[in-house]
Amino acid sequence: MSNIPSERIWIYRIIFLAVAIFLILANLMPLQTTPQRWPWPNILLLVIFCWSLREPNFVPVPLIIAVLLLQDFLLHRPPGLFSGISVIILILIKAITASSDDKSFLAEWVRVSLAFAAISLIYHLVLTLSFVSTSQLRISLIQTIFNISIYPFVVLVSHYIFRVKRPYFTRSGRVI
Amino acid sequence: MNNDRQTQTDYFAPLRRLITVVLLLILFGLFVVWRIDNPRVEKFRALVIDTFVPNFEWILRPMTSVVKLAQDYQSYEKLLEQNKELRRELQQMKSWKEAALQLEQENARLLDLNQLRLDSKLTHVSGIVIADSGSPFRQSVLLNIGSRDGIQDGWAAMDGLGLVGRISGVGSSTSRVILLTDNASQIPVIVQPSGQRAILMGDNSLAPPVEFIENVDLVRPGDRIITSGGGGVLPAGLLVGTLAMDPNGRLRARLVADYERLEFLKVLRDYGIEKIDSFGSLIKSKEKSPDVLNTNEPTETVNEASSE
Repeated sequence: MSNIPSERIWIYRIIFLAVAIFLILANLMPLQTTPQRWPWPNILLLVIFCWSLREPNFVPVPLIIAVLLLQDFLLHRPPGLFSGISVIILILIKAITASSDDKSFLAEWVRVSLAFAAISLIYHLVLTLSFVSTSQLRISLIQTIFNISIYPFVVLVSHYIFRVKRPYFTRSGRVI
Repeated sequence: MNNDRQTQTDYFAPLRRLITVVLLLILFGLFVVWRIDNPRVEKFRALVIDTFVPNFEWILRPMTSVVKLAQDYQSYEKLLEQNKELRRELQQMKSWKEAALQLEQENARLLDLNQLRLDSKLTHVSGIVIADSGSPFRQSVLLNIGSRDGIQDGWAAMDGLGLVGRISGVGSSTSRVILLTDNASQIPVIVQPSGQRAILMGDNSLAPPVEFIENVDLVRPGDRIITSGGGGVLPAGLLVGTLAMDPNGRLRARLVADYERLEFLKVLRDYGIEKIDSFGSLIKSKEKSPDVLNTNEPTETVNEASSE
């Protein structure tokens, strides 16, 4: 991990910031002024998970927090809550991945799926407990399912287009 | 976390962990502050949006128009069908136009007779929709006009025909319109012609339900819904839509504003109804100049007023 030159790390950090801003702007495009039956997946969250599990150096936690907080503000969510929960779960998943032996993609997908489910459930629980009106569990469940099903595509795009690959490939010689 | 970090430089690991913990505490603290002191944080949110969105408009606009172009291309296939429908509608419109013209002339004559001054609430500021809420949970749009154009919280936003929503959150060059379809939108309305008061409660669907109707027997699907102006929330008499009944027998509003195409909105100037709360001022103002009488007279007027 330390053998990546630091210019490359910084370039990737800038790329990540650009991708994040692009995704937020794509959300903000004034196209969905009617209530949508099918919510868009939160692709920014998927990218954060995918890159953190591959190259944590490219997406340091403060950068993740900054981007998610910006998303909180711009998408009109209660500021701080969603980003806080996501970052805690992300750190947990990183720790679990690092300590487990099963490096296959399937295992990663299962872990990430559980993470997304946990994020949306805890988020809803806290909002309900703090009496913020949330009658939209249905939408957030559908969004979680979309998030989970789209995750492999995000992984493929990061692998082949952005060249964000797993460090395990070279070090242990293991193939997915 | 530990295993992962031990491979890296151990020296920075505790510092990094400390920064992470502090940042997380700040995040949750922000949420708690938002929950307690909502208006201040929402003002900050308006500031963030106001600095972020206009800076990226140069990329937001082309992105939007490219996607819209693709959508329009799809709709070309239905063009012939649409054309026929439009012609039929045009025929009906012509007859309405004739009726409207006659009424307008009559109205102008009557206004002239009464020498009426136009109400200031009939003037408006127009704005372009630059962004939507971006999330499936909230229904709002962002306009490119803000406090520098004199926009204030609570003003009504309309498209050409009907009410669209209400200003909530004003930055210096942007302002957010909470749409009638948003979960947090509750608007006092009147169902005409019966004049029943009700509340339009947004529920994240295209046809928000109409709740708390005084007497449900007096209204029927097809009735017009207009704002009542109750509670000083919005100016009275803005067209909202027509009443409709969904399959479950619940009364909902079919909104007259075209939510599919919100591109330009006009925001009605509304400085509220002036309240008359100093009822004795007419009598007092006369007696202000002679100082001698001041000791006796005003106390009397106050007493009279309070007894009433």
